[in-house]
Amino acid sequence: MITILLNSIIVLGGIGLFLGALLGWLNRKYVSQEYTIVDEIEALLPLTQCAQCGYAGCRPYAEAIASGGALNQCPPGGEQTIANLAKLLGRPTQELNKAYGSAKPTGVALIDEQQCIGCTLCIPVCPVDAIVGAHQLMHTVLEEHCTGCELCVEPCPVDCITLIQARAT
Amino acid sequence: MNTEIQQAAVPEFVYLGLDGNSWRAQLRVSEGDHVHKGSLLVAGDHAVHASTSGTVLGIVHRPSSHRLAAPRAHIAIQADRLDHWNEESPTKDPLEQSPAQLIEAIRAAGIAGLGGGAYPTANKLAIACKKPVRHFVINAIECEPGISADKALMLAEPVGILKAALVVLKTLNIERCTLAISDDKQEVTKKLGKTIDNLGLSQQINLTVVPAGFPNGSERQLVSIVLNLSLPRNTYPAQLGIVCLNVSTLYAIYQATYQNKALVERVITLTTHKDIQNVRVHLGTPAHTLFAGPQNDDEQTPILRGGALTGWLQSPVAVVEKGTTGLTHTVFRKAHKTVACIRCAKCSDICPENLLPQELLWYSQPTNVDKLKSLELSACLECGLCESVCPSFIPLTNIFRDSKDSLHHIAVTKAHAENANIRVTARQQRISKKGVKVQSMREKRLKRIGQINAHHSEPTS
Repeated sequence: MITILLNSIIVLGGIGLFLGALLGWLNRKYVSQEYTIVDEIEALLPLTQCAQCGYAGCRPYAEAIASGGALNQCPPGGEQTIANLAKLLGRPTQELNKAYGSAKPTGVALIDEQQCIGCTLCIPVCPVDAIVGAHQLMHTVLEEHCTGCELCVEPCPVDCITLIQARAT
Repeated sequence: MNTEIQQAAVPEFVYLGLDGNSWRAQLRVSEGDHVHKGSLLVAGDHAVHASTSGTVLGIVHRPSSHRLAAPRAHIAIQADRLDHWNEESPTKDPLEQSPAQLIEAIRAAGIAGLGGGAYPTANKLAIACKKPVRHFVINAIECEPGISADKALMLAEPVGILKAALVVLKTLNIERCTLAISDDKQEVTKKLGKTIDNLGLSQQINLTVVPAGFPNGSERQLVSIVLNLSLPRNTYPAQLGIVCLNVSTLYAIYQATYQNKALVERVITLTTHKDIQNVRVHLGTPAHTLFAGPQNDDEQTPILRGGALTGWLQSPVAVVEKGTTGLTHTVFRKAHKTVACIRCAKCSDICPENLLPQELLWYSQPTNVDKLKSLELSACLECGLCESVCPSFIPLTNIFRDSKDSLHHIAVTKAHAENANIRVTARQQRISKKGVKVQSMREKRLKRIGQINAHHSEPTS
């Protein structure tokens, strides 16, 4: 009688210990990536990194929204993004705040190579390092990396940067 | 129906479509150049050649023959109506050349799948050449209702097609191939059989008759029937070393390797109000000019590109491309009123790829990316069978084409955003690192200035 009791305690306890150790080890090995509300908000933003919302990029804006900031400051996203964010957060939808710009289809920046004077002013403002060029040499935009954020348009002293419609997919 | 091939007149202007953006680096002509028929305009995998002699006018954006696509860049050529070929350099016997040389010749001639897919043939051959076991199937099925261009070509040029088969065998370095033809083309089968005997090719080319049926001429279906295997989804036959080429493509290979002529013309089936003809047309001919006549030649009525089942309506000013198998002016399909899906599942019974069109439809409106992916929308052949049996007259094929486009668009946008995110993070890290460095240098300098100042100020105090 006592041996049966002991045996079962040892066996079941052993299995319990083993599984516990296994689970603990697995948990440490495959740490689940933390997926916070900020990540979810960021995934809904258009990720152009244009900073038109007044924050330094999409991630900071997502953090601001998570802590109660307004939803309607993202012009590239337009009404659709606001609607998606409102649905995610259970907040009422709002009109796009026109103070931050108006929604329009995203393009890609194009430098008029005839006019470019090689001043390098546009290079440091590009949030995705999509402009290449050197002092007094022509600059050009890498189309595949350009997000169409328009941040390079303003610093250009000769106004040689324009946004053109992106390639058709 | 007339099975003889008519020669279409040289159009006043031809417009040759350019793919994506890569042509910018590969352009070989400039505005005002005089070109001959067959002159290279754009090099590369998607090589483009002038389809008639004339003057290059420049690059214009005009409607593409794709259903929804944005305007596409085309090279415009004003034809001089002489249709002069460029000087043909004497060709070496293709059967003396190495596989690599032959693939290069096929690439240089701009040959693409003329059955409709327009996939670069040289790429297909190069992929299959790397596989240890290789098969070659000649596709002479042409199952699309209303299209007879391949049939007419086989009756007109059987020798060229069979000689090109030898070139492909040489490229793949194998001994035998299968010529698959459907059992509704007895006249053609007889002619090809006789030509094979006359040329003494019965050892190399195995003429196989397969049942007529749709979509047996689709590459995946044909390979499954002929080689008796089931292809995994989302795998191209070439990835398994199986090359399947249409007879029109083979004839283009014949012209490229034996006659040194680039792919600038193709045979299409032209269906007008009056009759059905097979016509050899210059690539880049605007479709509406082929229907000359007071009633037909307008620039508004859309034209059906391809056959009755797999075709779609294109803009009438869009041009004949490498993948255009036929053009139909009058749309014979009656416009039925679409009603809601009644879930009769006729579509899933008939689907040759064993998909569930009714489910795909449900998750296409609105687009549910995950569901469409798990139901394997990408395996849809766009063959049009589901649409043809649908009792609710739902335009399934076009809905699936739209869904494929939007899945592609979503994937591209997502990849672009992820790429931007990576670059932003990298830039911020770099700036903060640089900022720390600048800060420490500034502190050091300030300290030094402070020391100097202190040193200088000592005597005065």
